Amino acid sequence: MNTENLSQQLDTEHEPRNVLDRVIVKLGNALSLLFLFTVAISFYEVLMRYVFNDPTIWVHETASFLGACLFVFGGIYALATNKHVRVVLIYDAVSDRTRQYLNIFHHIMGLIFAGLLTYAAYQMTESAVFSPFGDVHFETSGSAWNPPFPAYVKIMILLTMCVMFIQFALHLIQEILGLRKS
Amino acid sequence: MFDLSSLGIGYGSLLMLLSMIALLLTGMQLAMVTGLVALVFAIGWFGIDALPLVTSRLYSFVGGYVFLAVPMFVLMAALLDRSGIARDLFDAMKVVGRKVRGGVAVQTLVVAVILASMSGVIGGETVLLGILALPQMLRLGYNRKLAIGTTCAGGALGTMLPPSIVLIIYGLTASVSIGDLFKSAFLPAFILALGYMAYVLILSRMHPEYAPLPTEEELANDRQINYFKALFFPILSVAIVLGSIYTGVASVTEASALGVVGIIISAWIRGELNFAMLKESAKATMSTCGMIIWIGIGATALVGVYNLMGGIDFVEETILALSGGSVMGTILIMMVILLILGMFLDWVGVALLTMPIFVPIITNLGLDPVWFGVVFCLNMQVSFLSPPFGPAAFYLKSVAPKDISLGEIFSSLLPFIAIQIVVLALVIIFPELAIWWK
Amino acid sequence: ADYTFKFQSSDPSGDKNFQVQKEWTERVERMSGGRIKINLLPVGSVFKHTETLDGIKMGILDGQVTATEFFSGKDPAFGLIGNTVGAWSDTSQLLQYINYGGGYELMNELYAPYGVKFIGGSTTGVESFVSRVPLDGVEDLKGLKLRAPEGLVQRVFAAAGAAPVNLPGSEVFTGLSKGVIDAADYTVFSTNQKAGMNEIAPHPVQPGFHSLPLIDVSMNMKKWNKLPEDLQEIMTTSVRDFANDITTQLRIADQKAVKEAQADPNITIHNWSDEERKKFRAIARTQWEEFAKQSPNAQKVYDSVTSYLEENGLL
Ligand code: NA
Ligand code: NA
Repeated sequence: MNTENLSQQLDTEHEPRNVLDRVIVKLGNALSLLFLFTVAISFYEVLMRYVFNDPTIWVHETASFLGACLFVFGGIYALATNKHVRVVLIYDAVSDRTRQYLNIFHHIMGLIFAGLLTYAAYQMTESAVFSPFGDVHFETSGSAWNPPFPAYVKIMILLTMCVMFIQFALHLIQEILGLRKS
Repeated sequence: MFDLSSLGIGYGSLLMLLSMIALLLTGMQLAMVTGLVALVFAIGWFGIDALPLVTSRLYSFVGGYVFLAVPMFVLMAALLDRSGIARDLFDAMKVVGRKVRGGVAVQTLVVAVILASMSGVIGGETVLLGILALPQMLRLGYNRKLAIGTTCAGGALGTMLPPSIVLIIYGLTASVSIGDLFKSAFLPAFILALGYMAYVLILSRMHPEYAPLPTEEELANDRQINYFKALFFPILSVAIVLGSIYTGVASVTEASALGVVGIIISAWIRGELNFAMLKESAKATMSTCGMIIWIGIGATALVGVYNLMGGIDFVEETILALSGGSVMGTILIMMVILLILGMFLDWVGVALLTMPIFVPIITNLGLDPVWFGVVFCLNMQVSFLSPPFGPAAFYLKSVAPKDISLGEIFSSLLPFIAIQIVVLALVIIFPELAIWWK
Repeated sequence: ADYTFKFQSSDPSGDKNFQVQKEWTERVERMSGGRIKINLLPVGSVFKHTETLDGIKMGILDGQVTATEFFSGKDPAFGLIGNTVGAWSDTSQLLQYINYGGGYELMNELYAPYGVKFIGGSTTGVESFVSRVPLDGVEDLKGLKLRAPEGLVQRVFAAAGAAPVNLPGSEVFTGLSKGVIDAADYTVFSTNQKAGMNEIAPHPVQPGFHSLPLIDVSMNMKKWNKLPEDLQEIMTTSVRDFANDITTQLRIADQKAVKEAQADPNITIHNWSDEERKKFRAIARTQWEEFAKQSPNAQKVYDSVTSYLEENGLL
């Protein structure tokens, strides 16, 4: 049976295009096992709550935290494997040359997108990591358990956006080189 | 920078919509399109200091506990795909109508309904049916359009029948009980499935050449099926997921995790479980989630910026002005908006964009937000199939034989979209079809 | 208008609370002769409810009408003053503390580093307690499986011997009707009655004893400072009136619902004695103490609230 079918979207290229992409894919494949871990702890929570009458205080928050990090990472993973959804009715119909120009346009837009997000993420993360008095205080969830997950997720967002910016830059360079060659 | 706010909210909205459609049509990634429009409007309308609004929404969106149901449902479908459970189920359903004209198409739809009551995301099922059912129908000489349409529309049922991520997100946005939404969606979902079946049967009666019967030889070659083995595990999984939700034992996210556990155990008992399978399924989950969640991120960013621009009041006033306050008029305008947005955006985007505005209007009109949830869900059924952005079609394309083009898939879906719209109209005219139990 | 502000509420737009808040914004506009216009946005429309403080600090939002406890993750002090679980038996006690007992000054001190001005405080109503089993005092809480939101509320109930369960609000009804939980911290009596909670869990404790959130109306400090004195006064005074307005309206709704429930032979309303409320407060106080250790500001809140309660004979 087709093993890649679930995520395969269109007949576009799904191979990572450079070293960075390959690293992201490797890392993402390893991280994806955390989804199974999330399943396991959620199962554990239900078991503890309804069989042993002893609910945990950490499962919901840990699961949400892992989910948040994986979802954010999923963005650069899908970018590395070119799996983000597009409307290709026109894109597929145009000539190869035009498509190359379109790709360059997309990557310039993507660079702006990731650049602005990185700037914004920096602003957000700063106030999650430092208290208004300037000392380091990681924002916590405010629950009974009160882990510093909000600060961690925000840091994760900032890091991911930086990587995405570099990703778009590298892809853009590759596209321009490809255009020159043809 | 040019101050966009001088445009006013009316022209601002228009510019936003047009730039979004224009960028989409260039083939740019949907998530980047909505996200970029959001960022540019944030700067253009409010200045650079407003940018953190976008990342704040990104943060809030990914941290939502309920979104964990998405990877769980995807994981479930990936595991069903990689174990033999779905294949056995499909073969077992041959009893439904091996000797009836159009029987395999009906069989496909029955399997679609069973799979739909296990899983709640769009994608997994379309792919499964595309692998299991489509080749069989094509081999038997079924009319291509009929075969493609049945597979695709059947696969989309996953979010119509509970559990459904569409209903879950709606329930959260509208703050109504997800259990109530599930209860109300059952009947309309069955009516929709029956509508598809009726269409298939009537069409194959009118055009016998569309749905040839299997030959004696083929019937003799049918593989022997252990019905117990084929049916027990899927039914067990359905019972776990829906049972834990309805008895209140687990939240929906937890129930979806239980469903995954159920399928892993089933695969283990069947002797099919191995680490490679788990790894592959997790990988597929990562990339599908990256895709789905980032579409949501783009949409939620756009919604935040649009709301800050004053979009809520604008849309509300526009709808009320156009409808002149009439209840039916308001609903019709909403339906048109949903159908149009559904042509260009993913359902997550549509839900996040419209529900915060529509649901209060619906409540103020004295209508039932639970009923409206079902109506919304039916709208999203249409959106999965409608071009140019039709996720179900995309998914099917990824596993269909190479000679089937996206254009052929979309044209095959037209009659099924018509059936969806008929059922949508029925539920609007007769709300009891959804909320009969109240 | 000379000053147009965007405030985000922590309530959805269909909610009664949102309507009352909207009426406040309309009053401000009239009182100021149209010089102030406040656009009120529903919860989550721009920022998630826990993120509005950042939004105001960055100048994206101008202000908020929200529950202070949502900022507990920024500083536990907000969690403690935002819902001093068990401290208040009725709304006037909390409002008295805020307006005349030091709460106003303390809130302004807490918000100052964020560049936020606390205009005034309000509240909803003391949440009624939904229960399937009769509860007449602290003793009855022992072993009770109850749904409570995370944070101080759960801790206090755990300290009282109950077994708190984390359940999303949308699951409470099913949970109670199936007996998955015995009781729930849900919302005010009138809303519970309307939602049918009291039919499936016919032993409500009303007035409740546990939860009374501080609702704060606050805005960006720079923008506040730009307002002339008369407009500042209009803002402050109108918020005080808003507090009176919303608590009274909710009380009226509660009274009506209580009457309705009393007429229903299946529902028994339980009202705890002052004695029992004090006992619960004493247990709660041990948890406030724990909470206070988490930050210097939280300690300030603890000192301020307990000295007020002691002065007024509530502890
Ligand atoms: Na489903
Ligand atoms: Na569509």
